[in-house]
Amino acid sequence: MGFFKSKLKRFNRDNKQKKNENSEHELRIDELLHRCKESTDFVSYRYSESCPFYIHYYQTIVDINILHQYILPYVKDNASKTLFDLQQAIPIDNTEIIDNVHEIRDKLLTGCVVIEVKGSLQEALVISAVSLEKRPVSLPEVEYSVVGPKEAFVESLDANINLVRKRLPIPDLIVEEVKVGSLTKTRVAVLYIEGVADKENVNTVLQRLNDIEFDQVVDSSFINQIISDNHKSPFPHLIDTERPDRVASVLSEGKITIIVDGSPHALTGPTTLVEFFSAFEDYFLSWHIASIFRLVRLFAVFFSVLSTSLYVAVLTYHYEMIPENLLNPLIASRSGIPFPPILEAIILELTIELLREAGARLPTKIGQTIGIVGGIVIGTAAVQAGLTSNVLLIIVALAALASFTTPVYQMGNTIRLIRFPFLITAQLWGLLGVTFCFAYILSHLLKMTSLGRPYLAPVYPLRLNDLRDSLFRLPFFMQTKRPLQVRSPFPARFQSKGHKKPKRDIED
Amino acid sequence: MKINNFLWCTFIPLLLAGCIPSTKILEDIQLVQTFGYDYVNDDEFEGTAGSSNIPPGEQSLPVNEVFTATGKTGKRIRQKMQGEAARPIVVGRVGLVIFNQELAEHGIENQIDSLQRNPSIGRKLLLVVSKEKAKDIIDSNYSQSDSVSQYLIDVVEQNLKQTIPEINLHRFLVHYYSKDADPFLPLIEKQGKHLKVSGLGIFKDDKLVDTISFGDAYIFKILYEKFRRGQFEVELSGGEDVSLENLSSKTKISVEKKNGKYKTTFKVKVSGRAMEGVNLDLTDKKTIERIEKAVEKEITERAEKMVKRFQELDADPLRIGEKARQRSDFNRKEWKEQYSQMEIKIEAEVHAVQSGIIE
Repeated sequence: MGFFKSKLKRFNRDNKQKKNENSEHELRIDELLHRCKESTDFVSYRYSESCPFYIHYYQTIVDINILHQYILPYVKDNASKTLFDLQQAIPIDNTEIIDNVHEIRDKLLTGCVVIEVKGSLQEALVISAVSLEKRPVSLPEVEYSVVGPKEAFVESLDANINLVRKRLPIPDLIVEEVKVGSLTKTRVAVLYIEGVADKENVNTVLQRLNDIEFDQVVDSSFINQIISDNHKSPFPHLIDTERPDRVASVLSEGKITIIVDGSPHALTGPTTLVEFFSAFEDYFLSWHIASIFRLVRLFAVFFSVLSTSLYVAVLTYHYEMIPENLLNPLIASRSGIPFPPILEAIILELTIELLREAGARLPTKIGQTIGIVGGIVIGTAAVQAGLTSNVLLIIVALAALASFTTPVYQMGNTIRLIRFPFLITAQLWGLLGVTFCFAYILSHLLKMTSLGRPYLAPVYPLRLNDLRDSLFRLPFFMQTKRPLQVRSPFPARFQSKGHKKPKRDIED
Repeated sequence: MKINNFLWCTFIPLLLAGCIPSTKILEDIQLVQTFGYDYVNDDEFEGTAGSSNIPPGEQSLPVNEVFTATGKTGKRIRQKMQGEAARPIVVGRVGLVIFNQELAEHGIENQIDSLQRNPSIGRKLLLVVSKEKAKDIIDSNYSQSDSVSQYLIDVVEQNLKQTIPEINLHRFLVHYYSKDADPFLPLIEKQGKHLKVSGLGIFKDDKLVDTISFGDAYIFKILYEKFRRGQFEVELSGGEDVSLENLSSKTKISVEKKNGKYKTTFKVKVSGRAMEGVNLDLTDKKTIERIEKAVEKEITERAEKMVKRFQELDADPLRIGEKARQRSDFNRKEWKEQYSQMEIKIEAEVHAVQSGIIE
């Protein structure tokens, strides 16, 4: 331990020294270039003997076409003698003459071509020529929907903002960019609609992003975990979505979106628990169907969390509760099994988790075999070998199935996790234990906040207006107000005399 | 502070872990589903527990298993039974308790008391009186595929809905502890390979004083509670048999008091479908009226006879006393004195609604 501590100390000290250097502007351009040249993908040359300009860039992040078509011909042209002349000549709008070496370094590292005149040590022309390597916009994979748009976010931040802006072509859509991570310098964009989103929420997000002290941010889920209100909570605090349509929709509700460069998932918040159980497809279906599906999903959550633990509790303590007709089949299926119900349940639950984990880690082609192994080999053989009972096998399989109905993946994971404390308390104290565990989780949820706003919102604190889009999704004409939970300064979504106005045909 | 709260919430329950109830894993216990009491002598009685052993396997049929012991108290009997059982005997799923008629005539206060004190026994428990020894009923085979206990429970339960008034431990106790009503229980007997519900046993306090037949039990049910199903058969003056499918029946008891004398009237309203009149033209209005009259007469006569019998026994299973108590001028002493001589009138009103689907 001591060794690591001393090492960490030295690392910190080195970092501090570097910071001091930075702040005192001791770095000069030639020193910077010298350091960059250690990397083999760094290119630095002069076009010809007569040319006064030196060109520097990282060839791996610069678009060679831009360089060859729009920069080099003008550098070669002897008409321009100064950087200013060159800047005027080059037909690229994103050019700057910068005299701060640190800024030059940052630009250089993010895909700009730096041109300097030999001798002037504090000034350089910086031309943006970033090569945008990105995959095409494809189908959403996690949040797939049968009807509705088929676009999903990609890894590139600019492409993602483009997808959102296409859906919200208004000047009020504000994008604020923050750089996060001392090593990765990840671009993180905060999107909100001015006048609709609460300024306080925006400031909260920006402040939390600025406060991040972590060296690398690879994906939006990093941000989700780092800025969450309560680190001890297993519940996700922000909704993670890959659908631009969903982002546009929550933005117009007054919520805030965080898009991270390099991540095909955007974060939206402040959010509530029930929102995690609403698939975005709900809004594409008629409201009756969507409401029923939402209720089915909520039922699935309760079933998934409680079913196995209730089985254990009832079979271990409360045989009085079993209906008479169920007694015989239950005893018949249990009587050959050498384990108590809790061991039987844990074995099966772990098996299901193993199958899921293996299925997720393996490549798709091998993944299919997992289904066969799980379904036929383990399912049938375990019962025939007398290790588990038929009844529990059905319950566990149904519970696993039910946990997959949750549309947000992170929430599905949480639901599968909180099954286990329920199982243990069910074994220790029977139904009392299940109730105890439920109360514990409920009190945790009551206390929880998302970006400082209540997590259990439309239910507690009770917001009657917000209930219209919580457990049910009522028709659009009834959703005249933005959710109260986001504290929008402009709560009315549209002025409507609403459903009282009859629908008109063209003849009228 | 926060850590403190967490510790409280987590470790206090762990300290309480010693206070947990004992585990009773379903397949490791001997579930008793029926219980029977038989008369031995004035001090002792014989207890019989009917349970089933279910062998592993999906299509396996349960095997009947019966434990019998004699003793002065239920606890002693249970202890003796435990001596011969392979697994701990539990009574939480008892669905039916059978009292032998002889025991019931000597009083069942002791057994009822121990039943109502046991917290693991539900209030919906069925109680019956048997003509044979309870042991013989539990320890025999019937022509059915289910377990014996389940079969016995099903027979009684089904009859409670269709033909005899609904009674269970809870209702029995209500009647038993009421000062103005007396309990009754269904009567069962074994007939070959079947169990049969054969009437009602009328109790005075905890002692069986009379039994009434299966047919009268139906009249009793009409007077006692409203219900929707059942059948009624009458013979018309011309000798034809007609059956009346009961659609609904409703009874109103009214107690009057004039000059210190009580008088009770049962207003019975039955509406049913006339069916199965072999030689009758059921579409004819006159025939229907004839049927209505006949049924009214039948109900009135039989009910009056039955009520008279109750008055002679000074038992009140129809809880007329409960009704009388609702009067502000009710005097229990006067009521008890007058009950056996009181005038009780039955007014039946029968309405035959339909005569079938062909008109």
